[in-house]
Amino acid sequence: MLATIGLQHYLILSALIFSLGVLCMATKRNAIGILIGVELVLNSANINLVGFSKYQTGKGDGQIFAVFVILLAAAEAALAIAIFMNFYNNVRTIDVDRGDELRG
Amino acid sequence: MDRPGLALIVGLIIFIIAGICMALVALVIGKFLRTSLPHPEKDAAYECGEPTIGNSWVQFDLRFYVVALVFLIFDIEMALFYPWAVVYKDAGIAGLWDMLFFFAVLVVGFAYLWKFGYLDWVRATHGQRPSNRKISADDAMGRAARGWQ
Amino acid sequence: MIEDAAFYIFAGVSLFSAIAVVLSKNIVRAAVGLLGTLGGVACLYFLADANLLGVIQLIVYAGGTLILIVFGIMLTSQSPWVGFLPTKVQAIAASIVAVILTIGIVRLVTLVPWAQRNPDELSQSLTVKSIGDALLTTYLVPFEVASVLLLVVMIGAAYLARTEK
Repeated sequence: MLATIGLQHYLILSALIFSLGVLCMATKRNAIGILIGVELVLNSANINLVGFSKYQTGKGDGQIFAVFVILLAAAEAALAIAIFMNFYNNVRTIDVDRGDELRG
Repeated sequence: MDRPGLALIVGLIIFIIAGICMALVALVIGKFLRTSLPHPEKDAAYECGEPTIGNSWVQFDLRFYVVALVFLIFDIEMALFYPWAVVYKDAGIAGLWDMLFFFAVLVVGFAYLWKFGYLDWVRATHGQRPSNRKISADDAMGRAARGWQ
Repeated sequence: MIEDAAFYIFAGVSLFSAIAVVLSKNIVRAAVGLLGTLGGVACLYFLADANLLGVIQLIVYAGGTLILIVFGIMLTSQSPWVGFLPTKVQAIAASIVAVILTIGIVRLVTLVPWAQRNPDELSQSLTVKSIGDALLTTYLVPFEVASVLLLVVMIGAAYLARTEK
């Protein structure tokens, strides 16, 4: 079990964090909690990219993809929080189950 | 042991352990040296002479968000500047133009925020249209804002 | 040997923090748990010779995105204990899905015979210099498009967050 660290260890860790992120997205009703779940999922993807970059290619391509993922995650978080604040100003809560009415 | 990442990791672990130990040692020494005189006043939050008002879960102002947003954008930019700066000498004038384009696009966004008053601390939420904005606050902050407008 | 131990330590920190994120009922504690996960994953990047990526993870993710999330919490919550807990049925269903997902992915990952190479024998071009070179040659277009994306985010998010309309 405690073998030398290889690609599989990174992939298994990534799978576990991915599942926890999905679980976080599914169980939180606070909108920001859902955003935190998304961040966990993006991190698991980055672990995969870095693992493959180290053990499969030996080139920096995976790392550059990971840099872009981090950049996009920051952009996504900024916009998501702006939307949440709009939602909060309209509904006075950020419980996502309350966002079920459409109004022009 | 010859790879830089590994040396970094070992250093990081030693650093973390030393940091935890320092905090623990300080707390343990204090535990033995101090006297124990419990008093209900000592458990109050902000024990600094002022009675506390309300709790700390007030709603913060939206203006903080715009500042955090601008910080985040330029944080990303700084992180991307670093690998560019490492290769700048070899990349030559083309590399300079690449980065100047990147920088110019972001400066457009910053200029937009500045021009239309998103960064005005004093009156970002007072509801005037951006076109006829005149600072009406006559206090010190308003005068200061008029000064650099 | 010490490398293996370091992997297990940092993987454990990341996993433990991720579990804390999922289980915590207080949203601020979830954010602190996310900080632990980000830090642990950054250390794993250092371990995998991705030094620049680890630093960017700490600066942009832990120092920027997480701060923005904490700001979002401050701006939208009146009390830490306004409970938005899921119903029991929701929680159980989500847990079943997550367990099936975990078993499926882990089984898949262990089944595939990855053509694994020894990292010491690969041509290790994982330095900051090689990444900077690639950023200015192969990945120049995504790099410049990213600046436009950041411009859109800066203006769009500031406009959305305005109180007056």
